[in-house]
Amino acid sequence: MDKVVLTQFGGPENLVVQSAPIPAPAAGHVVVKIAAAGVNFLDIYQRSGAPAYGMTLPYTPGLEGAGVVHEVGEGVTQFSPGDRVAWTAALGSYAQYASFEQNKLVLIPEGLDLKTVAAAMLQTLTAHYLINSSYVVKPGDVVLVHAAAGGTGSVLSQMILAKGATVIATTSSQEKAELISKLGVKHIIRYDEVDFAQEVRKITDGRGVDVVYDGVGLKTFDKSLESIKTRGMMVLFGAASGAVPPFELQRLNSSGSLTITRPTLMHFVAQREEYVARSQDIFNLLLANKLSIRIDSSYPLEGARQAHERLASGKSAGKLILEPVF
Amino acid sequence: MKAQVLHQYDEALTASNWVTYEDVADPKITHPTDVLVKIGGAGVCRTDLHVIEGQWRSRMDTDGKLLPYIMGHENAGWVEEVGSAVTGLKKGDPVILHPRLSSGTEIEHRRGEDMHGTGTFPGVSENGGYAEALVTSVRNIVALPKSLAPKSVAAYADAGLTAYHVAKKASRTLLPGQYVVAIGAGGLGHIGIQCLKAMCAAEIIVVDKSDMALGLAKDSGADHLVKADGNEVEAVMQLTKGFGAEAVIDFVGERGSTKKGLAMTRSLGNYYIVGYGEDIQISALDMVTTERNIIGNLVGTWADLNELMSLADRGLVHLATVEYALKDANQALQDLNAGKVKGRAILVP
Repeated sequence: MDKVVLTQFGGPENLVVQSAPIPAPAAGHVVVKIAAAGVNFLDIYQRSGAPAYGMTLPYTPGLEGAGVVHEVGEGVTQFSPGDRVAWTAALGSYAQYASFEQNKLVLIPEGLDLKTVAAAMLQTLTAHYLINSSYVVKPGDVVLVHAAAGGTGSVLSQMILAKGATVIATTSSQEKAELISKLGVKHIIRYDEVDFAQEVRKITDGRGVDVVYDGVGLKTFDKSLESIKTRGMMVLFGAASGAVPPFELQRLNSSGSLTITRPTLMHFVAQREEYVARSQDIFNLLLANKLSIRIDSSYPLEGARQAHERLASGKSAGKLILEPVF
Repeated sequence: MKAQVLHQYDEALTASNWVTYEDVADPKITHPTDVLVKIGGAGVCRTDLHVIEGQWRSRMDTDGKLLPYIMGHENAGWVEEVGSAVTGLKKGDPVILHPRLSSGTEIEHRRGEDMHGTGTFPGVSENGGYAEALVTSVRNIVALPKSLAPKSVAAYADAGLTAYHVAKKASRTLLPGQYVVAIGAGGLGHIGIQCLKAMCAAEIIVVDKSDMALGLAKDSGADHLVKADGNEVEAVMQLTKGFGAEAVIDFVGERGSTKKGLAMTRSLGNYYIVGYGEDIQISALDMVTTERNIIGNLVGTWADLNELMSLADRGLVHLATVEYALKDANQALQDLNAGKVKGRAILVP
């Protein structure tokens, strides 16, 4: 079988395809024939080798995907060969086959296609905990979402709107603004052209937003703080433009007694029951057509480099996926 | 194999189903130079709607015997089987198909100009790629970089190729400090702009009547945007310091755009015509005194398609696609007809 392997940290050119035997499942593990794997910013951060991500070489990237159970190991009770399954927070998805610990997998209900689920897992589960756990979005809240045409941004916007809250979205191009508008977002700011904090104040009659979801990081952080209402909250969940430098806590006081959190998905799906329940919520939204996952581009495993380059370029509008060719 | 078959024309485009999903005979290799390609993606093009309307009847179906047949002229996939004379290709290789099948023996073909001379156009004049497989000639095969998924690039086989062909012609004569105007930033235009951006140092001016199209043009790399509000010639003359552009590419070719396009073309410059619908009118005296050239453009060559795939592999051109399962071809055609497809619709078996 083929798999993408990173043998040294650095640029996307280090993602190379290698041949390997199909893994045999260890006890409690499940070998999956992979239909599609999602490509995420986290994959790029990990590839860069920054110590904070704690990666050890060599490894096969890819933290989410969907496929069909190929073989199960001893003691696996929840899954059988032929079952359609999805996963997130499990490394090794850029491959034709991978072996995962059974608790990493969830069953996919009838009526959903594997590719859509693979593209959805990390972003929708992220959006799920961001708006239900990190901060609980309530009807009537005004919420600022950066990069709202991107994978997570688009899902976040749809799920916040579904809760009856107002979304103010930022984006960087006309094409992306059109896509966001189609999601039903009324307030769209071109943050490449105007000061978004000022625009947010205009839209909210000077009040500011209840919460800002910022996955952009370095480029937006300061203006994001300026956009929040007194006693509002900042949820910093990514660093697409670079990491936010050390921060003077006193600023939270002068900015209006703000609260800030820097969460990560792993801590919100670590409990099996929580992981399954959140996934079930997502599958129900997808089945009811209340959530649409836009796929920007699909590449074979050999296109992992191109997929990383496109994601890093900021040109993609929607999800990038790898679909192994068999 | 399964295929989507067109059984009858629908001039008004009002039927709810135009093609039927059915079992047809498997295509077979009959010549030593044939290649059987398993389709990975087939582009759904506006031309297909025109075929359904019967607009191509007088050219491609003169004896009335074309139907039933399989549409689809933008095809990519994987080699499934090769004829006995084919070397260098094996099962599983990803490929995209040049859209015109020619004998290869006429002088145009030997010069690489397969759009000219005698030949056929699978998907329009004979069975195409709305199917699980298609037989083509080894001459039409462009090997894809392994990094590209056939379904992501299928629409380059015709629409992209046309845009690349003209952008390449123009870019070969364009120098830094010069200007190129693209009239129309729709499906072809926005690929053409990306190609120009990748291949030449002239400043790119894009003219379109739609703000959305101009926004797309900016995303694609346009340096200057001009709204086609009736004063577009003046706007272009101002941007080019009163001289006009060294190259003008007209992706529209109707509703007065040819007259305006020529008016934007500088002396000694080239006016490339891609879109069509009206007559180009210019006096012989005007042509003589300004030494301008009017240049036609028809799809592109095999080499062009090869080069375009290199640009795609490097991420320098990108095409937005929306996937439909082959069995949902009618939905894709209906969505295209209703203007609901963002990018190119691709049928995936």
